[in-house]
Parts: sequence; C-alpha cells; structure tokens
Amino acid sequence: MNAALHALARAAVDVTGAGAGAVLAVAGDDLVVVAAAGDCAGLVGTTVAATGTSAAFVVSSGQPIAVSVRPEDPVTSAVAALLGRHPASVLCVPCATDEDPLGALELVDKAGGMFTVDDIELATVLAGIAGAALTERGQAAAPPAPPSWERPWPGWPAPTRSATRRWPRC
Amino acid sequence: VVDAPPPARPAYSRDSTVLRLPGAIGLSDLSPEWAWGGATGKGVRVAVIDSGVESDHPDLGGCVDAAGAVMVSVSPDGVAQVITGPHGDSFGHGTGCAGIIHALAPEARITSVRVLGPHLGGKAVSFLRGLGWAIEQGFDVINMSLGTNRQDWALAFYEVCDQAYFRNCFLVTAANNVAQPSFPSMYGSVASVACNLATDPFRFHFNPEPPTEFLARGIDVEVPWRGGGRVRATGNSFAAPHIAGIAALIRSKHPELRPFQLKTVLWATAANVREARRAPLAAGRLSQTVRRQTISARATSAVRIIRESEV
Repeated sequence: MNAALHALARAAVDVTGAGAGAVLAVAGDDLVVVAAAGDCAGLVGTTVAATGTSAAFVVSSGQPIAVSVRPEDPVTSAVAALLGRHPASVLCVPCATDEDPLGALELVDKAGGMFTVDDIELATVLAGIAGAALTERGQAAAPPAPPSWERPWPGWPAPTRSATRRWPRC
Repeated sequence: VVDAPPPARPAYSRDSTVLRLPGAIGLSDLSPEWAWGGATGKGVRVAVIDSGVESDHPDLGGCVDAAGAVMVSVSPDGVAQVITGPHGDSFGHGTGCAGIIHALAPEARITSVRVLGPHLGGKAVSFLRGLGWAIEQGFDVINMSLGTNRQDWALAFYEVCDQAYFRNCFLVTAANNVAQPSFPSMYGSVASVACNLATDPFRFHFNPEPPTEFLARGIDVEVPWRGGGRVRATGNSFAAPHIAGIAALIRSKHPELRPFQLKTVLWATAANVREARRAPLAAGRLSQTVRRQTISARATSAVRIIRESEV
C-alpha cells in the first residue's frame, strides 16, 4: 500500500515541478507522513502536530489551497516545518473520499514560482487516488469504525445512508 | 339576488402588486452602476464561516464584530455547541476571506463563525451548526469557503440552505476543484463560485452550466493572514468571497432584493453576460456567446460548462 502512496507522491512532485512532497494521513488530531518524495523522502513515519498547518486546514475544510510565502510570513507548511526550512510556495489538497478526508497531499517549492490552478487540479486527482489507498490502508489496519453519532443540535437524529440522495456530478 | 362580495385576495396576491425593483425597468437596466455604484456595504452584515478571523488585523480596518463572533465546538458526546466571544484564526484562511470581502465592501460588518479549529474530526457537524446559527441570526450574506464530501450530511445541508433562502440570507460557497460532489456547493439555494482568470476583483463571470454558477478572481490574490501578515493565495476559496463582497455591496444599495433577485442581478452584471449583450447578436445567440466567453475566462477544468464541439 505504501508503495502506491510513494508512487503518487513522486508523481505529484514530477508533474507539478515541486521540490518536495508528502502524503500525510490523519492520526487522531495529528498527521503522520506515510509517503514522501523529493528532498523530504526521509520523513516517512514522522508525526506532525496538525494545528495551524495547511494540511490540517485542507483536511478540515475540504478545500485545496496554494500559497506563496515570503520569508517574513508565518510558515504554514507541515512538510517545511519538518524539513526545517522556509518554503517559497505551498500547495496542499485533501485526500478526499465520500467521508471526511483521510489525509492531505502537500507539495512545496515549485520550481520557478507559484503553484497554478493546473497544479491544483493535477494534485487533486492524485490525492483522490491517495484517498482511496488510505481508505484501504485504514480498513486493513483496523475494524470498521462504528457509525458516527454527531449531532448539530440536541435531539438531532443520527445520519443514515437511507437519507442520502444521489447527486449529479459537476 | 344579491351578489356575493368577491373573495378577498390572498396575501401573496396583494404583496405581488407592490413589489418592484426601484429604478430598474427591465433586465437590460441591470448594470454594475445600478447594482452597486456608490455602495460601500454599509448596513450589511456578513458572516464568514471558516477558521476564524483575526479581528485586529490591520488590513481589516476594524470591520470585524469581535464580540459577536462565535466558535462551534463538538462536545465529547457529539453535540455541536455554539460559544460566543472573541477568538483568533486557527490557520489564516478565514482572515484571508474576510480581507477580500472588506476590500470590496469596506463598510460591511463581518462576523466570524469559526467551525474549523484545532481538531481534525467532526467538521461536518460543526459546519452545519455554524451555518444554522448564522441563518438564525439573519445575516445578509454568508460566505462559506469550505465544504464536505460526506453524503450522509447532504440532506441536512440541503434543508438548512433552503431555510437560508426563505429567510433572505444569501449563501456564497466555494465550488469543488474537481468533479466530485461537495456540499453545500451543489445546491440551487447557494451561489457556488470557482476561479476565473481575472485580476480585477469586480470582473466575474456567469457559468451557464451549474452547479457552479459564477467564476470570480481566485488566482494569486494577496490576502491578509494570521499573525498580521499577508500571503498570495490561489483557490476557489478566494473566489467565493469576491462574490460575497459584491453581494454585500448590492444588498447595501438594494436591501429589498431577495436571494433569487440578487442572483439575477449578479447574472446580469457578469462580465460575459454584459459583453454578450453589447455585441450585435441575432435573436437566440446570447447564450452561445456567453458560453464562448465563459470558456475563455474559466480557470478550472472542473467547471465543465460546455463540450468544445458546441462552440
């Protein structure tokens, strides 16, 4: 499974021209590097606190983001924090599934400038495959989680699949 | 024989006779000047549902209602709770969205509804509760540069977005970057926005093939960020607040507009619609010209507006 994730990380670095990239998986309120490419290839297995990072944001919001960062700006990249250097640009997309994202694909330091919308779309496609791989990885590692029982208001009924509608694709 | 008095007209019939758009006779009169010329956003309340807003950021010029801000947290037993009071931005994204809205509508009041916090789980339920709170408070414009793929919450979001529509709250949401359903961007009761290639914040486009209905600036936008700084950012996340800011301007000048009318005004003032209207066209060619111009303006292929062979 990790071989597939590593291949995806390498592909993402290659097609976008990034200097480094990693697939980070959600582990509680932290993120763990499960695959990496470029000059962060040695970070696999490292845990990073999610708070305030772009990876945490895209996992939470479901929205990809690309930012260029000046030296005086706050470092928001989990990968750059692990590498110990300030990135010039960061692209982060969620590893989306039909449920909450299971992780994020993060790329840093695009050669020659800032990540583009095309880079976002390429990375999003690869991150979708990574999401499927992370789903299988999670299913192999643990028994299925019990159904969620989250309630936006007290008394709200638990969500069920029977209430799901089929939506047209964009 | 005495004729029975005519039955009283129902309320909706009486009301419909007095509703007029002031100063606008037809769709062709709906220009940017009519829509938001001279407007500043004064009197309009905008909710930003996001990672929080750094209320004292210098770029926000004091437009944030810090005391009225709320944060949604999920209790250990799974119930979402709304906590009122000042808070910071857990990432910087909410401050960025608020900065775009403030730059367009400087006198609009912005309230932060923080649903993205330090914890990675339970986001759909926090998001839904925060959206419900904003609708209960009757915000004029609600910006949501986030979404969820969780289909088990799709119907709940659908119902809450319908409540917003009937309560006169205008919802603006970022579209997904790829062709995968993301909620609530799939619903007709929201304005779903993706990036175009524009550098002018007021240059936006209408997309004739929904669910993404508008394209606005979202590439390489300099926005305020957490810690008093700024970053240059790209994403549909930053396109949505451009439409939210313009909607705030329109609502401040035309507070009588309902959400469907506001969408109509946005359609009529979209760059591709205006330019197509100015071109000498045979009857029935307007939509084709709009589509052609939309293709050249779109930034993201996820906005699949038309098969190329149709152009």
